[in-house]
Amino acid sequence: MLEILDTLVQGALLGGLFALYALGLSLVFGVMRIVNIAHGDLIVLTAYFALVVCETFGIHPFLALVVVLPVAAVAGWLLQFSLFERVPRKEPLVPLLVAFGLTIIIQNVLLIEFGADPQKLNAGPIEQMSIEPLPGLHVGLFSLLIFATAAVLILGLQTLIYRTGFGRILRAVSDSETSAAMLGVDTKRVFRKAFALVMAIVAIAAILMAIKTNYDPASGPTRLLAAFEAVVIGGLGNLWGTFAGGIVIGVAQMIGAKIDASWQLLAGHIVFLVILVARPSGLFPKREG
Amino acid sequence: MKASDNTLSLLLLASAALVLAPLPLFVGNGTLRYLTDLCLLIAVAQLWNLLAGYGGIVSIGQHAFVGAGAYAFFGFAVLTGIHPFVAMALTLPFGMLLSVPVFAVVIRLRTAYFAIGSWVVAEVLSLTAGKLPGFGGGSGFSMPPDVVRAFGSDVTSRIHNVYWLALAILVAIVFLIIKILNSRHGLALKAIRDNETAAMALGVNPVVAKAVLFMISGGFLALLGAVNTLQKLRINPTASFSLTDWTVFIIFIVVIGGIGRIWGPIIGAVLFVVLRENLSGYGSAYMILLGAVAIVMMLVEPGGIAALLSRGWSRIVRVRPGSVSKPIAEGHRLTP
Repeated sequence: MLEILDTLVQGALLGGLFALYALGLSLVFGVMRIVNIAHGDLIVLTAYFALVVCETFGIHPFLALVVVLPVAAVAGWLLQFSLFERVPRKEPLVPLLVAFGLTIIIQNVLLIEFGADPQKLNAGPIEQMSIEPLPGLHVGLFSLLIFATAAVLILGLQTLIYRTGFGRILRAVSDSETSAAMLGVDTKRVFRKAFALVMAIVAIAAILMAIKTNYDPASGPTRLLAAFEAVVIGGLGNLWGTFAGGIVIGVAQMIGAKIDASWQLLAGHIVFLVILVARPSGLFPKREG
Repeated sequence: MKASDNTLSLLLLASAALVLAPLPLFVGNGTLRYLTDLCLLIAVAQLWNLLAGYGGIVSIGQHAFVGAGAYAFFGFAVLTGIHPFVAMALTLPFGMLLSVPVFAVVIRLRTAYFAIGSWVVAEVLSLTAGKLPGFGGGSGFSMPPDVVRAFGSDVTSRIHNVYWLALAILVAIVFLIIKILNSRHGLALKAIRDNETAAMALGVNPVVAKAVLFMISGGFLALLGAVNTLQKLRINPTASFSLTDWTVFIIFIVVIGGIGRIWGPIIGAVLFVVLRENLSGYGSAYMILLGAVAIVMMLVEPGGIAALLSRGWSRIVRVRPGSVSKPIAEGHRLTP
């Protein structure tokens, strides 16, 4: 019984990490209508940048966020300004293939710079700390921190999107780019800001991931697929749904891993496909209006 | 595409086949193996182009069918022991059948998300292949000598036969694609690409139209995967289902060569293997170069090198007034 509960809790906490990966992907698609295949690779690239910052200054990964987050945000702004802004989006094919090219470039630049060895950030004693809410059930403090961060970020994003002026503009552009432009919205500026926001979230996700898991230059796609599955299961455009989707995939992977380590990824993918067949628009489709 | 262009394409295809078929009499085994690889690459690229360029289906899971074909060939020929020729032929219907459930699941995702969905399916198939009993698990299996020998008793005759096999399949695929584009089905695809809603109003069912393309591509990819085992002489979940070889390279080949044009994959594949020969020592740098060229191509000329060439050709042709010959690729524009 305790073992089952343990698997569920560990799975749910892993899902928090997937939700973190997924938030940026969801925003890029929601606002810019671009399926950013390079999303996972952007997370891994940022994690390598965090590694460099930690090693250069000899600082704790949490402190490195002070440098990594603003740099990532500026990089996001520049990426939109110099690349995605110039991509015709009339057909989904073109931005998709541009992002695909970016994926291969990032992976191979990392491979040349850092080699194929797996990396990890060291956050010190917090990685080993755990609490015991029930006798025999140990919950890692760091995993809880990731889970809480995902929840706080979603809460923050919801507030930003539904309660602020910038959020109103984001929603307008997301609904109809042309109408928003006609009403005087500078959509290019909105997109650049949105991509900066996405990369700021990616910075947080990247540092937490780099402490929690090993990563190497080819790790991007597994992150992308987990994020994608969370977004689709949760229902497109529903951030809390994405969180729930992440938890579903996390629990599925943990149950798979219980059977055999090699079943972890496969179990997640299979549950995703089953849900896709049963509920094509996700478990929590966004209600209109 | 006009009827005259259609005839011209078919004539060019026939003459290309006539030139390429007798090559084993003139060139060495090394060159021939190299040409066989080229035929396989062009064929897989033609199939990806059929989906993306004409059907509007962007798949990042094509390697799933190539790998499944290799495994099916091994399963039929080695595990059930039927004749290797029959086993190879069976991979075509096997791939078509496999593509039905795959398509049925992934088509539930909106157009743009289809790409990642197909990638998930490919992951599932490749991970499953490593778990199938009798297929050697994670390390795979070598093709047994008696299966390989069925395709030629000595090395030279085998290399000749595999070359002819790959060439024949490639010619069949290109022939089929030209035929499809000139059929009612091709017209329906064009209508869907221009305006899906309007096409539906005229009685075209986009899902069925796309499903047909997906099945054709799935079947031939499996067959090509089976032929490829005769080049590689083994099956393995990572190598047979190689994302890099059968999807990443293929996408670059089509994008750089010219998406939505019959010449695109051919130009792209030839350029790809020539560059690979000269830059293979650079590994990662070569991949970065390919990625960068593909991005620039998408931004500057989404029609690829084929579009650039056909534009240049039109300019030359226009010099002589009265000349009506139009470049063949002109009919396959991505955006009309």
